[in-house]
Amino acid sequence: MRLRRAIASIAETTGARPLGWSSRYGASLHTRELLAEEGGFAYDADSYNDDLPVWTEAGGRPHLVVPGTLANSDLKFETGMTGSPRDFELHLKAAFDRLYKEGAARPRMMPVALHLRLSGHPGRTRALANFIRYAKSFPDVWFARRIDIANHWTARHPAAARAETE
Amino acid sequence: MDSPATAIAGPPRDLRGYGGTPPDVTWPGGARIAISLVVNYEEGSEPAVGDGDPEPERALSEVPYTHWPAGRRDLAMESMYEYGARAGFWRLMDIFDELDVKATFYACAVALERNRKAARLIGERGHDMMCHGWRWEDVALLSREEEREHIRLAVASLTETTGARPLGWYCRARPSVHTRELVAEEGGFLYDSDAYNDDLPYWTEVHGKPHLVVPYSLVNNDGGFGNGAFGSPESFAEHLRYTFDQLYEEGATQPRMMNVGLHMRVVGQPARAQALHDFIAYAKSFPGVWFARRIDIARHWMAHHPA
Repeated sequence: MRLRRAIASIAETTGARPLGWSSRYGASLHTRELLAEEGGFAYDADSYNDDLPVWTEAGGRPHLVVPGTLANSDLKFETGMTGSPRDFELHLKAAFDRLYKEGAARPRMMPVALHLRLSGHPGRTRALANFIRYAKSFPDVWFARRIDIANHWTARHPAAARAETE
Repeated sequence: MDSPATAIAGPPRDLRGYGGTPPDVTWPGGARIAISLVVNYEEGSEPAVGDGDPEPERALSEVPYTHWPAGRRDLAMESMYEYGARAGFWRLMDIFDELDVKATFYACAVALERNRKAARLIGERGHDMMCHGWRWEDVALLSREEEREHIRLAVASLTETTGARPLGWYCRARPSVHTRELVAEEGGFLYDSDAYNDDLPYWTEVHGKPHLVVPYSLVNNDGGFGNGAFGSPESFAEHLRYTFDQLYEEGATQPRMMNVGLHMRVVGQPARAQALHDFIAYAKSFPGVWFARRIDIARHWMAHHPA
C-alpha cells in the first residue's frame, strides 16, 4: 500500500514514475518481493554487498540489484566515523584511486551516497566538489545515473546470459 | 605482590612481562621488525537471526551500534558483512599478491564452510590460517563444556575446508577464563593470540606446562573505522606508518613485532584497501622488514627462545 502511494506520489510530483527503489537503511524480508509483484521497477539498490550490479531472483523472475554504499557515504559525518570534510574527500579519492586501478583490468562501479542535509552544508559541499573535480581529471570515468547503469547492465549482461556461464 | 588470590577461575595477571629487558631477538635475516598482517575471516559466521540467533550482529560494520528488534533479520547488516566475503576478500588477496607479502587469516569455521573456494585459496596463495572460533561468537557467554565442544567443531571443520588443521588460536576479541586452558587441552595448538599486552611473543603456563602467546593488537586495527578512531583512510595509514616508524627505530637495538588487524568487510572497501596497500608499500621500502605469518613467528620463537 505504501509502495503504491509512493509510486503514485512521485509520479505526480516529478512527472515520471520511479524505475529504481532504495529502502531506508535496509529492506524488509518482503520488500524485494513486493517490488517484483508491483512491476515497473528496473532494479533496486537494497544491498551493500558488491562492487558491481548483480542479478538475483524475486517472484520467480530475474531481478536486478545495483548495490549502494554506506562506506562512501556522508552518513559518516552524522555517526562520527568521519571527522572533517577533508577526511570525507580523502576517503572518496582513495576509493576512486583503488577502483580506477582495478578498473584497468576489470571495470568497477563506485557509488557515492549523499544527503542534502549533510553534504549540503558548505564545508562538506566543497569536499564533494573537490572530489568530483579530481575524478573528472582522469580519462575514462563515467559519471552515471543509476538508471543508466541498470539499463546498461540489463542490455549487456542480461540475466539469462549470466545463468548460462555458471 | 602478584595478582591477588581470588576464588575466580582463570589465568593470573602478569603486569611486569619482560620488565624492560626483552630477550635478544634475532628475526630471520636480521630483521628489525616482524610485521604480522592479520585478516579476520568472519563474514558468514556472525550472529544472524537466519542462523537461529535471537539478535543479528551489530558490531564492526559501516554503521554504529544501534538497537535492532530481536528476532528480525537485518538485511542491510547481512549485506554489509557479505561485502567482505564477496568483494573485500578478493581485493585483499590481490593486494597481497601484488606486493608479495604473506598474511595470517583468523578463520571462523562456519564462514569458510560457506565459501569453500576462499578456504582453499588462503593456503594455495601461501597465507596461514588460525582458528578464530566455530562461529564469530563471544566464548565468555558459553559454559566450559560448550566452549570445549565449539573448539572441537571448529578444528574439525577448518581441517576439512582448508586441508590442514589450525595451529594457532584467537577468540572473538574477548577470551573466557577457560579459553586458554581449553586450547592447551585440545592438544594440537602451538600458540594462541588471546592477548594485547606486549610487542613480543612470550611464554606462559597452562597446567604447569609452557604455553606460547603471540600477542595481537586492537590498536593497529581497522576496527578503528567503526568507532571513529580513524576518520579517513589516510588517518589509518598514518597510524600504521607512525607505529612502524617507532618500532623500526626501537628495532635497531631490540627487534619488535607489529600487528596489523584487518577485516574484509572494513578494509576491503576500496578506499581503505588503498590505504593498506600504501602502508605495505611504505614498510617494504625499508631494509630489515620481515612480513611474517604468525606460524612463522611462533616457530621462530619456539626455536630461538624456547620456554
